[in-house]
Amino acid sequence: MKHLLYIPAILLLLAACVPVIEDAFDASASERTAARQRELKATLTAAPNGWLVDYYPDKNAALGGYAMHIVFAADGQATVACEQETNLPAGDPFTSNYDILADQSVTLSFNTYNPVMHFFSEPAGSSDVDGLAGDYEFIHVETVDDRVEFIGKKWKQRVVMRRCAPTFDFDAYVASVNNMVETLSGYGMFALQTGANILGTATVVDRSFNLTYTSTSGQDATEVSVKLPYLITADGIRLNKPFVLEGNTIENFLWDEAAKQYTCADPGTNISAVPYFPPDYELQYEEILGRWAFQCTGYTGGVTYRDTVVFALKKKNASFTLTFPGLFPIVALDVSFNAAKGTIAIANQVILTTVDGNHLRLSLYNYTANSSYPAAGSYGLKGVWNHDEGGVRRMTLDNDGRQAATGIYGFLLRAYLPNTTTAATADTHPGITSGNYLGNTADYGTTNYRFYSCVLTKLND
Amino acid sequence: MKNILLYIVVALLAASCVEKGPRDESIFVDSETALDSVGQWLLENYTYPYNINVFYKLTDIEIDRSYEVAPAIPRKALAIAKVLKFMFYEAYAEVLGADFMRSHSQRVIQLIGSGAFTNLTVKKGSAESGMKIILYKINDLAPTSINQTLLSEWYLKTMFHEFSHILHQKKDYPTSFKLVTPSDYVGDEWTSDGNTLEIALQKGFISTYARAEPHEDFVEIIAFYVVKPDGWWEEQEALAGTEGTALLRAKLDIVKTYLRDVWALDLDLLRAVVQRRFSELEELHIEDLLK
Repeated sequence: MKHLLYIPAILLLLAACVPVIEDAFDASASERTAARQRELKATLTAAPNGWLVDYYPDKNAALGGYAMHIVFAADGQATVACEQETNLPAGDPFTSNYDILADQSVTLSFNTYNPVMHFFSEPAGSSDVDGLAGDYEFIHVETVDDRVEFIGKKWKQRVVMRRCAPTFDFDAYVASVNNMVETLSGYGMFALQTGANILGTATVVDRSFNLTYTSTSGQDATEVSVKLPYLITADGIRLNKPFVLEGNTIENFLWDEAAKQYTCADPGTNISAVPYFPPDYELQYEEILGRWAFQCTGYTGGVTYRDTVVFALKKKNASFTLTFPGLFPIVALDVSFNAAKGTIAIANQVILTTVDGNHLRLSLYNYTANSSYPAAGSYGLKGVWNHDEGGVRRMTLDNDGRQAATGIYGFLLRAYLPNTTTAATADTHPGITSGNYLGNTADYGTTNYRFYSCVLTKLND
Repeated sequence: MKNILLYIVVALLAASCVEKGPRDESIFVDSETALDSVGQWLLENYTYPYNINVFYKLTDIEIDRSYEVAPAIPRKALAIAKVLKFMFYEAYAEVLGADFMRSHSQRVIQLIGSGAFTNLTVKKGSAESGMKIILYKINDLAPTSINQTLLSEWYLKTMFHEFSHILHQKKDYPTSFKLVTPSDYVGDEWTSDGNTLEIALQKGFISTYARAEPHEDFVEIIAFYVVKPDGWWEEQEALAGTEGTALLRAKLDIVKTYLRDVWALDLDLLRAVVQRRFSELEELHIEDLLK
């Protein structure tokens, strides 16, 4: 019986003779994570002039990118500004808290409300439950020299921070970005080309290139469409990640003011993004500015109406104001400009509020049905340049191919019941009175102002 | 000889048990971020007296990631923390003593700046297992928010509602409560258009949500009874009609008896204390934090 006791005892002895296993790491997992947290905080706070941050909201970066400037203080506060207007004007900084957490990995979290940072993440209500779908928690990926890379925790967009030089001034940077935004806004399309060889064309939409090119990488050439989100820098644009276009890896473009084009700054490429006007391009913004002879039929009971109208700058490369001096000097329509196509468009709009609270509205008019479309909707009149006038710039107002469906090819000016808060006084808007119609019936008859078949001819001032 | 061998074996066994005591330092590293003034106030007014952690910074692991939310503005978080302390924790403490809240309250309160939206709803608050309560829309607080109607609707009703869940989960209420309106609980259908407040009242429910199931019915009665002003309950009875009023009163009786017998809580006394504190709230000058 006693022998039986030896068996478990010896087994226990053997079991006790476990070879010593060396730890793979000198410290525990949590200690190593804590060390990385301290290291990241030391890195971020060791940039007294802050970091310039490439930030992309939305899981598909559909809105393009924005540059932020963040200064991290050792006491857990971060001062954040953005080159784009957020809840604060562009460039205005706001200080709130940050922390570096041990989460999925080492995570930088902006954990109290910052009207700049959280502008991109706060929900806009039940109609828009995730707002702009931007992150405010960022998983640390790597630190290389003066560059720290993160990935957004929820929406997975890459965030790159670059250490700012001691001389960096964010206000000046914002001004430079604004200049670049204005430069870029003048062009709706670019051709990506090597020398004179066009590899593809890209439409500019919301800080993205919608690039179409013919890929020759497979056995058969195939047409490829791809969206390349970018952010606007002080001297050009930067894609949100490198893209390989026919063997050329492109990411950074610099604006060449003399050549009026972007040049790819990445090594080993000689790609340029050259403003591109397709064969059916209509008119550039500057070509539309100024006075035009306006003529339409059907005006107030069928007579022809003529006026000299004026397209004036509202927002460069984006919109005009359009006035009819002969009719109402005070009435200015909003006219949008499509830089990609070189066209203007006029949509339903409230123009002003009348003395007694009614408001004057431009409504698209369905001549066939003799009815108007007071709702804003998607209807619009597009200006189409007649290319065959031998140097004469002439536009007709058309409903952009929707005429057959809607019958729209004109508009009317009409006063409606109040639903705006824009105030008007008799002093500022003489001649505009009440009723369901525009104007004083004694002066203008009993109908609305109807404008059909409108033609505009540019006056050479 | 055999015994000697045995001793050797035992000695070797003992020697193999090398002592490996705890290390000097914990492997868990505390946050190195110093407390700011808001954090210090919360530590002194929630953690020390009530053993509750109030997170005003957005702690990702504490939230429901299916919502997109924004963190709270610290001074507004401080404002609502002061309101909750005065109107909820101290009200209970006044009636039952601070130990009651130390023992039973949720351990974590997470404050969120934005609402938590779905296509149809926005959350005011949520609770998990009696351990944690999340309150939303802190950033929407304004100086004009410090009034009984808004504070009740957005925050205090939620607090009393969720805390009452803890009480009945610890010690259940009598089955008789579920038998007052046994066939009129509708589950998720409580959000249907047909479940208007008037219909709910006429069927003996103090709110449309109370029709979801008996637990919700039970805690809704407590929450509404305590936070709503004088005359409000009578107005509901007028809408409920004779039959609805009889059912509501039967439920309220069971609730009061349960709270008195199980928790030594006089619901009418708690209500009186809460109502008095509403009138005293302005003395805290919370509006100053919300400007």
